[in-house]
Amino acid sequence: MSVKTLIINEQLVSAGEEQTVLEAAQDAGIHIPTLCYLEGVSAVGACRLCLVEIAGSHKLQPACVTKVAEGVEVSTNTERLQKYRRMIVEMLFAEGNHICSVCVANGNCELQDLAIEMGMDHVRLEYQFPDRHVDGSHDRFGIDRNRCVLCTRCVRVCDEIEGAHTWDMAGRGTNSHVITDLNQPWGTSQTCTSCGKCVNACPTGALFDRGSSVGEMKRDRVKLEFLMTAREHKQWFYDSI
Amino acid sequence: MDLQEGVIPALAVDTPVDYESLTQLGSIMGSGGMIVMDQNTNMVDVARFFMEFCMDKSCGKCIPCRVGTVQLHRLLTKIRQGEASLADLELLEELCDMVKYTSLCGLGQSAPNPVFSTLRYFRDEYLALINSTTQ
Repeated sequence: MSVKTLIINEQLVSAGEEQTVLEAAQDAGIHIPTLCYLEGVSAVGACRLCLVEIAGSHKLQPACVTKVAEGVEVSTNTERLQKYRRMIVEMLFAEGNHICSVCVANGNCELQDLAIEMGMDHVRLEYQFPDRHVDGSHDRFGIDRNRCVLCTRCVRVCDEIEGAHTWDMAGRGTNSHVITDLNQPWGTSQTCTSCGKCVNACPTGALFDRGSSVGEMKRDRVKLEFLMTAREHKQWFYDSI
Repeated sequence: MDLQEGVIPALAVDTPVDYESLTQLGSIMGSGGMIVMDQNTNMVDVARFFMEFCMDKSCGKCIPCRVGTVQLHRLLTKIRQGEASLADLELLEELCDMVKYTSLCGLGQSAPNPVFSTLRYFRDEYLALINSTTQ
């Protein structure tokens, strides 16, 4: 395997010829924001967050699918790229219903992290407030499509790693959405192995483990009664719910 | 002009129909089709019509085209209805630039062209709709 030498942000970087600009940058400790990219599955270049400038080309290139080449000069964090990236994140917030305070992924969300990284303190675009389908038919997992950013990570892990291909895309443009099987309820899916890879791959709170979503906490009132009888009558009867 | 391409004013009527000349004017050759419009056509309506076409044709894979065309269509509708401010016009231009340079394929990359070219040659029609509102 031959080695290519390129310049990323005025820093000389060596990379294997099969590597992408993103991999070369990551190996050199240079951070490029990503969203649809997930190590281990194929790259699709759809989110456009990893766009970089390449000297001599007026076209911006997605670092996750652009192979390294000898001598190219790459800039990953120009003012123009920062502006575009901020707008991409703004677009995602305007497109879905991303209300961090009531989301299961609050604090563990890549979209939230990106908004913070881009310094997105408000959204200038008009919120679209979609009314998308929520599917709670699966025993262990749930999907709230209002939080989906259409990165297709779930589709790719399910197909390429688990080999089940339960997930897929349906619709087009603003009506794009992920579906299970041929748009059947997730709980009735014949192909889903309930492996949970999709839930772990999801960057937002769209796919979640049941029991962790807001409003699913159940109180054990019997315990209060148990404590009272234990204290007052020295009797320990406990029937949990 | 094709559906996704530029609008050029009457004073350019003698332009040769070839790739280079039309590119210079901010339009493209496409399949060589042409639509002729007179002064009764509102240019914001034209841009909005083209944007609706792109919005419907967007596949939804990349974010700038999937969300950008919807947002541009909303902004153009807002301007047409006389409800937009100058800040909205600025945002419109900023969005057009972003969608053009970040979209994955030719559809998104050329979607803002009708807005760019109507703004270039018929900016007064946009401003007339904005000036008539209180800000």
